[in-house]
Amino acid sequence: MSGAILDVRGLDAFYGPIQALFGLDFAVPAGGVTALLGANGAGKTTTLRALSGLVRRTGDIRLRGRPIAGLSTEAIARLGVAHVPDGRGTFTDLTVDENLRLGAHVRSDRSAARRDLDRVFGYFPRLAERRRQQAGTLSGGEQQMLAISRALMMRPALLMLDEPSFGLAPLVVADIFRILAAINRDDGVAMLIVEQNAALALDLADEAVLIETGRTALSGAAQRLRADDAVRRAYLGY
Amino acid sequence: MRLDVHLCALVGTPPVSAFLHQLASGLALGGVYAIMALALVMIFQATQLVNFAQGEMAMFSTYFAWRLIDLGWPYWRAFAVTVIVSFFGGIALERIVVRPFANAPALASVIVFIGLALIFNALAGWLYGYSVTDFPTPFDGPPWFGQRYLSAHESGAILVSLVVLAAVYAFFRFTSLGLAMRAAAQNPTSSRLLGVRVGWMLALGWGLAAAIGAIAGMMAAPIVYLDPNMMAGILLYAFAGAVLGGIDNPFGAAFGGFAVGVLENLMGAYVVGSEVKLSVALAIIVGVLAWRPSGLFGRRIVARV
Ligand SMILES: Nc1ncnc2c1ncn2[C@@H]1O[C@H](COP(=O)(O)OP(=O)(O)O)[C@@H](O)[C@H]1O
Ligand SMILES: [Mg+2]
Repeated sequence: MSGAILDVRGLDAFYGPIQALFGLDFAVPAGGVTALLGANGAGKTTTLRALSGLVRRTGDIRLRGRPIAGLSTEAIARLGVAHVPDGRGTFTDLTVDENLRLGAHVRSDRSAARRDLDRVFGYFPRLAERRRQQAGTLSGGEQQMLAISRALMMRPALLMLDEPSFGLAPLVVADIFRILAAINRDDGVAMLIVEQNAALALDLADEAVLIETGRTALSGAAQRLRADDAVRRAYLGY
Repeated sequence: MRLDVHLCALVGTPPVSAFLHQLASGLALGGVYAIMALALVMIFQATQLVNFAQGEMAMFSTYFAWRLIDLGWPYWRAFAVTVIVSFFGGIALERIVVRPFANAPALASVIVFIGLALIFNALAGWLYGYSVTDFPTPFDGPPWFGQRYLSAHESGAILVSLVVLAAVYAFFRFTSLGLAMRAAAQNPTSSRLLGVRVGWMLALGWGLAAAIGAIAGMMAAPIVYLDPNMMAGILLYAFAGAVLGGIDNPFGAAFGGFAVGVLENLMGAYVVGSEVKLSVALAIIVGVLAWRPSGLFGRRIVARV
């Protein structure tokens, strides 16, 4: 598919001898948002981990047309794939500031990185207030904001988010999704977003993929999946 | 030099002044323990393993410096070259010897460390012999603070330790490489997702530990003399200091190193004599750990050794 920032064909993934993904196909359009939906244990987290090279995987993965399936996690990150992992991956012993500085670790454009820091503080003013605080002392919502901000400090071409709503109060979730939409709209950052909360994800997404036991069950425009009866009953609850 | 220490404690000096003397001179080896403790902590934080070869690596570096000085090199040039060579040697050791066991059980790594220690010890004995040798100090003038408390070397060794500790602190606190190393030790997966080359950070940690270990060895050798077993006792005290202060806390470990140095010296001079002071010092440390299992400044209990 041309115009895709990420193109995945026949993705298999393995935990030791156990295969968890079976030939997934999907894409993230340039500047677009793709939602990855599915029940608990379907393989959503594994998909992101496979894309980042955190689990053994085979298949064809292309970032802007360039094959990345053979690269290390570090190398993939350096190509502009920012992965906000489930559990948020906070450096709990480091300060908020240090967490954010780590996001810019691989960048050499210091002054642009400083401007990006102001930008994420613009999105999440609460982080600016807590700059010198140990990240482990932040609330869950603040840690999710920090994880997203840290990823944005990488100036990513693709932002992958694993259940950003997990364990957060509805108001905080709404806040975070509103900001994610703004980031996508204003900065043109493409996103691959994993969510249990399908209604939220489908609102944000252009495209959606439904995974069942490691296989692509359904994929297409987010609008179309929202209208699909099976998806509605199983994941949207009405 | 140890003999002087005991003489001045026993003969004729006023008690308070003698006590201060013991205290201050305990800080000299205490600084060496503090550096070695910090070297242990650097590796421990990244791997949850104690590098039992740290002492023998430092001993080997000290012999290397001794060879250079023996060849007629000026002290500080030999010092600097030794530190740099030890740094790259540490990196090479991690990459070549330790790395292949990264995913092996902890016990396999422990055996690798013990093997490394034995190899360095044997190599030093084979290359340089087992006889005890003098090692020069760059601080060999008159005492800095009059005759009372410290020899010039002891003062210099304390100063060097403080400089090393401050430099290590500044490196980890203020540089982005230091920050990346801390991040890699704390949360390797998150670090890799940000593009941090975690494997290299660990190798760099080994390089730094070897480099500061070399400095500790060169500061210790004029006091304990140079021989292939010179670091065995020192590593034990450093380990005790690290555990006392908290092996997951660099500040605590360095503090613990100084504390053990002073404790050792006071024990030796006033309580039990130098023969059994090691056991008494260790007993006190065990006592502290019974009261605070993760050390004075530590947060969690050591799970793997
Ligand atoms: N570390 C692991 N080792 C073995 N199997 C795993 C591991 N992590 C996940 N799995 C399995 O892979 C499948 C997909 O899990 P996951 O990707 O976490 O699902 P989701 O994120 O969609 O809830 C599940 O069957 C799960 O049991
Ligand atoms: Mg998951």
